[in-house]
Order: sequence, then C-alpha cells, then structure tokens
Amino acid sequence: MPPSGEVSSSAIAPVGRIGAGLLPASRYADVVVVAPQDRLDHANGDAFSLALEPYLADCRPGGIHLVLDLSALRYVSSAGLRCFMLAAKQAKAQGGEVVIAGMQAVVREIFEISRFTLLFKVFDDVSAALEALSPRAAQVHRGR
Amino acid sequence: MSESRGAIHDPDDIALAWSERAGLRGLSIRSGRVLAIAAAGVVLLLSLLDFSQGLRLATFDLWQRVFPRDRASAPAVIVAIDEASLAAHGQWPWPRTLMAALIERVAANHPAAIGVDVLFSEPDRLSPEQLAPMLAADDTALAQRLASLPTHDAQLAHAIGAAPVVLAVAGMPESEVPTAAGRTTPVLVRGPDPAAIASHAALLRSIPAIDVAAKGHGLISAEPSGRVVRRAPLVARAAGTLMPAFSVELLRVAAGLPAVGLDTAGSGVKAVELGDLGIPTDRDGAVWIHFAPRSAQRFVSAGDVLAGKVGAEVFDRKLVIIGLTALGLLDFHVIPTGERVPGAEIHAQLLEGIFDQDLLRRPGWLAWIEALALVGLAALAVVGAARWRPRTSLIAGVGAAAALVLIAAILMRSGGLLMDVTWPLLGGVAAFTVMLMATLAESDRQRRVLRRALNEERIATARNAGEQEAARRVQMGMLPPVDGRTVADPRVAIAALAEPARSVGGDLYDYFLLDERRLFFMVGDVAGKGLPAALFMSVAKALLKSAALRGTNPLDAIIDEAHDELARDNPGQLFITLFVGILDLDSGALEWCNAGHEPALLLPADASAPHPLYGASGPPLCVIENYPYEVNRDTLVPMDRLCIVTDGVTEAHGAGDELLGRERFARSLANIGAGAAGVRDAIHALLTAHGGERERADDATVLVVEWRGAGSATDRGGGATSAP
Repeated sequence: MPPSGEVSSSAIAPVGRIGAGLLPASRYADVVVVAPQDRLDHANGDAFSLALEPYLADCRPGGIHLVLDLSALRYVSSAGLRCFMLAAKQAKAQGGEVVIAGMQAVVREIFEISRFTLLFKVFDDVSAALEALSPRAAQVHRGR
Repeated sequence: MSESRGAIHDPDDIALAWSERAGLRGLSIRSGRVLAIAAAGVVLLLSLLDFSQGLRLATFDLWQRVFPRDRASAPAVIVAIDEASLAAHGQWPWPRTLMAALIERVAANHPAAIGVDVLFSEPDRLSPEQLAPMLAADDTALAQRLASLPTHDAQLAHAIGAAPVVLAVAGMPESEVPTAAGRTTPVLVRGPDPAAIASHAALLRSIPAIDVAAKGHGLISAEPSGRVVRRAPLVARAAGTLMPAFSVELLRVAAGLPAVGLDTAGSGVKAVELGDLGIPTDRDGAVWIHFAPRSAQRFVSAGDVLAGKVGAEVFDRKLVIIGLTALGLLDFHVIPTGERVPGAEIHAQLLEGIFDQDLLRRPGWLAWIEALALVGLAALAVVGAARWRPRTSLIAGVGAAAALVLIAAILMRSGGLLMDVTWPLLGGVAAFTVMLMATLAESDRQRRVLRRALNEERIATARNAGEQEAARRVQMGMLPPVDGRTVADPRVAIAALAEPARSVGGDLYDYFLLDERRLFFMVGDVAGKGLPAALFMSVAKALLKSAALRGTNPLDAIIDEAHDELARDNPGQLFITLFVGILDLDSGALEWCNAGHEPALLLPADASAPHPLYGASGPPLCVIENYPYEVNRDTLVPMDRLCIVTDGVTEAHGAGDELLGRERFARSLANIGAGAAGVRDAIHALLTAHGGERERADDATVLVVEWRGAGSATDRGGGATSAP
C-alpha cells in the first residue's frame, strides 16, 4: 500500500531527501507516514535521521503518531537499525510512539533476527497501523 | 588543517608564490583587463597629446632610411662655394664682382632660374666707393677716381638683373632686425586667410640696390644649424606678409609665372599652386621632404665654374642654386638619414621631390588610423589574453604588430604616407604586458589553489586512512588467532575468518577456555563504523571476557553484567549483536544466548542438512535496558560443527546487488567434510564467488567450532588446526 496524499501540516518541514531517493511522507489527520526507500545503511543513515527529525520532534502526546512505512525498503543494515532505534528512543522519551508497517521479507527477517520487533509495534500495512493508532486517521486514509 | 599546511614545506609552493606578492595579489584576468585598458588609454592619450614628438619622428626617420627617394630627375644643380673655390679666390665674403662674374657665367648657359642662397645685407666693403673716404686725406684725386668707378653692388645688381635670379630673403625669429622694404612676390590666397601658416617676426633682405634687381625673392628660414630638417615650408609669413619659399620662388621664376597661388581651407593650407601644378601641403604650408641619398652629381664647384671648366649642358634649363658648402661657413643641417648637408642641398632635394612629385605626406586622418591601430592592438590583448593560451595570444599579438608595420611600410613605399607605428605598438605592448602578467598570475594562482586542495586531500586521506588503520589494528589486535591455536585441546577444533570491509566495522569474535572442560565462544557485531565502533567492540569484548572469567557465573548473568556496564557509558548510542555460547567439551552440552544476532548454524556430524539453532533470543545489547536474556540449551554429538557468522556474510551483496541470503548460505554448507577449517574456507570461497570484484560493504566474520567428542583426547592428538 503505497502512501498517497500530501503533508498538510505547516508545522512539519517539507519532504527531505535521503541518499539517492526521497523520504516520501504523507499525513492522515494526526498520523504521519514516512516511507524510506530502497536501502538504509551507513551510507545514508545520517541523512535519513536528519530527514526524520522534524516529524520525530512532533511525535509526542498531542502531536502526531509516526508510522515508518517500510514497504519500499529492500534492505536495512545494522546502521539503519540504529537509526530506527534512536527514533524509537526519542519518541519514547517524549511520550510518543513510532510504529512500523509493511515490511518486506528481507527486512522482516532482519527485524526478527535482531529482535527489533521488541522495540516497535509492527503492522502488516499502513492501514492496519492507522486503525490501531487513530480511528480518525484511518477514516481519512480510507476516504482517499 | 591549518597546522598541517604549515608543517608542509613544499618547495614549489615557495617558488610559485610570485603571483601573491603585494603588487600582483589582486591581479586577475578581470582586473588585468581594466589595467590593460587603462595602460593603453594612457599611451593613447600621450600619443594624441604629442607627448614625445621625438618618438613619432624617429619612426618617420626610420622610414626615410629604409625607403629613401629614388633620384629620378635632376632639375637642380648646386654651384658650391666650397673649400677649393675659397682656396682659389680668397676668403669669404667674396667681392661682389666675383659673385657677379659667377652669376654671369651660369646665366650664359641658359639656366631656367638661378637661386642665390646668399644674403647681401650690407654694402660690399671691398667696393671702390667704400675705399674712397679712407684715401681722401692722402690722395684726393685717387679718392675721386675711386668714387666715380661703378660700385661692386651695382655690378652685382646688373648681373642679377640680366638673369632670372631669385634672391634669398631670411625670415628671422626676432623683430630686432629692422625689416627693409623691398619687392615681394604676390601670393594669391584662394580661400580663407591661413592662420595656421608658419610665421616669422622679421625679414632680412639684401640691400635695396641688389634686392630690386632680382626677378624673385624666396624665403629661407634662419634655422639654427644642427636641427634635423624633415619638413620645409613652401609658403610662410614674414613680417606680416605671405611669401613663397626659396624653392617655390625658383620654380615660379623658371616658369615665368607672376604669382604663387595658395589653396586654403579653414585656417590651414591645402596646396601651393604654381600655374597648373598643385603641391599638397600640411595645414601650415609645409611639406615633408623625401630625402634621396647624397650625390656628388648635384654639385659643381664655383671655382670650376669661374675657371670655365664646367660644360654648358650642366646648367642648360636647370634650376641652379648658388650656395655655400665650405665647412667653415656653418650653413649645415642634419637630415633624417643622419647626414649633415649644406642648406643648398636641402633646397635641391626639395626641388627634386616637387619635380618628381615624390614628397611625403602626413594627412590628419592618419593620426586617427594610428589611434585606431593602438585601440585594436590593445583590444586584441584584452580579448585574446583571456580567451587564448598565453602563447597563442603572444603569437597573435606579434602577428598583429607585424601586420601593422607591414601596412605602414606599404603606405610609405607606395603612397609616401608617413604612418607612425611606435605609439600603436607601445599601446599594444603595454596592454599585452599587463594581460600576460594577469593571465600568468591567475593561472599560477589556480595552480597553487589546486596544489593546496590536493595537499589537503592527501592529508585528509592520510588521516582517514590512519584512523581506519588504527581502528583495524584495534579490532584485529583484539581477536584471537583464526586457526584456534590458543585453545590447544583435542576435544575441539576452531577456525575463524575476519574480513573487514574497507571502512572498518565493529565485528568481533572470541573463544577461550573458562576451565578444563568449558569453552566460551562468541561472535558480535557493533552497529557502526570506524574507530568508535572498534573501541565499543573492544570494550564489549573485554567486559564479556572478564564477566565470563569471574568464575561460575551462568551465561545469562554474564550477558546481563556486560550489558549493564556497556549501557552505562554509551554516549554514541551504539549497540551490539551477540551470539555467546559455552560448550562442555566433555558432554557436548551447549548453552547459548542470542542478543539480536544471526542464529548459529549447526552442521550435523552425520552430514545432514545444516539447520539454524532456534530458541529464545533478545535484542542487541544496549537497545532495550535490563532486557532479560534467556539461555538456550542444546546437546551436540561428536563432530557436530557450530558455525556463527555476522550479517556481513549472510547479507553480502553480490555483483547484481542481490543478497546472499540465509537459506542459500545454509544450503551451500551442506556436504562439507569434517573439520572446522574446511567450513571456514568454504565460506570464504563462497563470499569471494558471490561478491566478485565488488568491494565488501560490511565486515564478514565467521567462527566455526567443531566438537570432536570427549574421547578424542586419547584417539587423536591436538589436531585443532588440521583441516581436510
């Protein structure tokens, strides 16, 4: 389920680039879905963290929920896992939550081996994540 | 990096530093352009202001030397009162009777006109009436007789009056000489009054008795001797009256014309007209004489004429100039070729030039052409130097300069036009020099910038490589030998592989005996690269080892203790995946713990398909605080092999970017014979085949542990390192 729609909140910085690809982001009510592309490793990990930062800053009670849509991510290295870990830790410290949706088989395997599944709630796809996080967001998503 | 740059003493750096010296630091092509235009502008201004007339005249003199006039016709003959004449007839001044005789001798041979380049401004002191008063007291009768004789002046006047003679009258700069009245040839001005014409304040004439006898009166100017004569006026004003020059007057008298015409425009003269002949002049009424080489054929000696040694044909229908050429008489001038010639020769050369219509001209528009040439050369420098390489623009500049000189030479040779090339060349050279300096300075500066960048890159690379090297040494130095020789126990065989990626990561493996029967082994992978990861890995390894060796700690307690220590001081937020195992070498009992690491692969002794060890596992260390890691238990049979790798192996990227994958990896390890090293070597070969030429993206680490069974202590002897 590829994300559609545009980010509507002016509080959130425009979409940034990571590595060779964009970090597409979509907003559904109080949920922002970001979808890292292709690969996430030590070569583009810092750029990804930088691009994620504005959404992460808003990921707090009264702010947004953050969904990492990994449906377009083919590979994640340990450096990439570290980016996810830092995001999870920051969100947790702020009282917010980051969840993961739509993992491909390879990435899912890496998550399971490293037990990063313990760190995130994992959903099959974005709509499942939205249903769990925010009925309002799910409604917006269905409406599209 | 400034300290590094300071430490490097590059000799080239010092040698090339000229472009950064005070005067040149700001000299770029852009600023050079402005400077070059300014320099050319200054030269142009100086040339237009005639700052150094000499420079331009030197060029003209050079043209005269290179292209002298061919003496085509010989309209003028000089009767030279030379040293020989003085030796024969006595010192100068001669008695006027002798001069009269000379004129009569010439006149007898039908000359077209006779010009006498001598002024008779006082009565002859040798004349008889001049002697009469001196003798009156002694011999009155003689005095009376003397006084009654015809005067020398009268005799000269008679001779002059009988021939077509032109007398010289001299224009003087100061009016202290009282201007005598006398006849003046009319100059008919056609056009406005020529104010630009040369003017003399006063006029010196011969005494009236002689002056009136002459058919013509030509102006000579009393130029100081020694000045270079390049131009000669054809008409000038003297004491307020326009008068023809000596040469023009000779031509007028020869042609029998009543007057000289003057064509004017504006305030200047265009041409002097003698009947149908118009001679173009400069605005001031002067012409540039084109000098021919000196020639003895122009001269006959006055002594020879008086002695009757000169043939009649010499003077027949010629313009004859009687002048002084004896060195002591000081009527000498320098001409552009550098020679000193008597005044009479200058008149003769001018007459030749008028006759052959071979005078030089310097029209006003030529000055603008020269200015244009200067601007053109400067423009070539400014445009060319920026666009072309210095050598190309130098060739273009020299070529353009040569073309200019060639054009000027052609103008001189075929049109008698005096074109100046010195100022245009000066302007061009000024602009070229500035641009060349600017170009060289800029390219030198660019070279230095490049060199500096290269140096900095080298230093950065060296530093980076140094850090990588340090990290690698930390990492590799921490690891036990790959052949397992530090555990020399026949019950077990160990083989390892550590293939660091180019940017060193934080893989680790370790193995050691806890006591006589328990082997501790582990494989880990720190998330991150470089020195921080390597240091984190070494700390993790040391903490685990010390916790393990502290005694009877169970495996989960060892992990927990290391975890607590690591997490307590982890500013980089790094984490580490770990597979840790303890193998009982006597019983084959295996305890293992997995913290987010690849599952260990079991290669069964019966050569059945390899399978991963599944069981409870936790996240990597430092991901979730106080995570309760669980211990798993299995039992090996002798010759079972445990193979633990890092994701650098299972996730190795192939040439087509595809991952090796865990399943493919496991399948490829089937059917490998006994021994730990064989498994290790097979993995190494697999990685090499899969990766191809591609550079390894991540560290690849392998640890193979083969349990040979408790009994092997007696069966086989310490063959830990042996491999099939």
